[in-house]
Amino acid sequence: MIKPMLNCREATELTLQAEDRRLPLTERLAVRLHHRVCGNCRRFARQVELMRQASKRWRHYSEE
Amino acid sequence: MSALADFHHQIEALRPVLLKYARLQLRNPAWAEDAVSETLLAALEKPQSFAGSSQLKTWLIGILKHKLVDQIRKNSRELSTSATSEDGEDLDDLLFTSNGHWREAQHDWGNPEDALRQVDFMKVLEACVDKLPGQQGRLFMMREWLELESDEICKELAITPTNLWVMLHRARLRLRECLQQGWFRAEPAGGAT
Repeated sequence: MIKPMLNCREATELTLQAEDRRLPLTERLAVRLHHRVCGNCRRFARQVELMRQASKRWRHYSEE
Repeated sequence: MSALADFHHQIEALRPVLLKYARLQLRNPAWAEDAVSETLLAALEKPQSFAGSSQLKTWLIGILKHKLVDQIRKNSRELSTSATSEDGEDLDDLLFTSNGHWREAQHDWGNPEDALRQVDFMKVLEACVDKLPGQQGRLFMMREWLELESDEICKELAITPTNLWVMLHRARLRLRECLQQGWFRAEPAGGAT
């Protein structure tokens, strides 16, 4: 069960969980809605995305 | 030097780098030594399976990854029991107020391509992964370096998905904190170059 409006801590938790499980549609929409009004969480989500890309690059780097 | 002796020599020269990743993954020096020894042995036993089409290091890391999964399986009982015991303070309480708002403004890390292309950044990342507490580091490595699926990790270690997400949540927040301190803080504001 998910509240219609997430706070930043909840949005952060879901953004991180999305790295390790597929979020249901309701949760994805709730995060997206929160991001529309919250610059800090948008920036946080971009940091998480950068970390994902960094991990990928690191895997390649470790094998080269 | 004969071709075979040369091959041995080249393989042996890569032992330190294999050991580095084995330690990062297993967080146990003895298990890491075992995994690396098994890797080198497997490589020396069938040099013919190294086609020479890929780099030697790429081939060895590929073997090592299998040996690391073997080690994780072999020691899974010990690994699953330490799942909640040693992971330190929860960063969430430092980051958020009691009503769930950020305490501080979040930074724009700028254009990822700028950072990701740099070997120095890879070294900072590696140091940050190394600093993760044992079980968090192990799970993070299983997920991001061994590229195991979440349900595979849960099955191998007999931990619940919730437990896994909690540990990875902590690991990723710590890693972010470390990268912020070790790399992005040094960048000009807004990541402009």
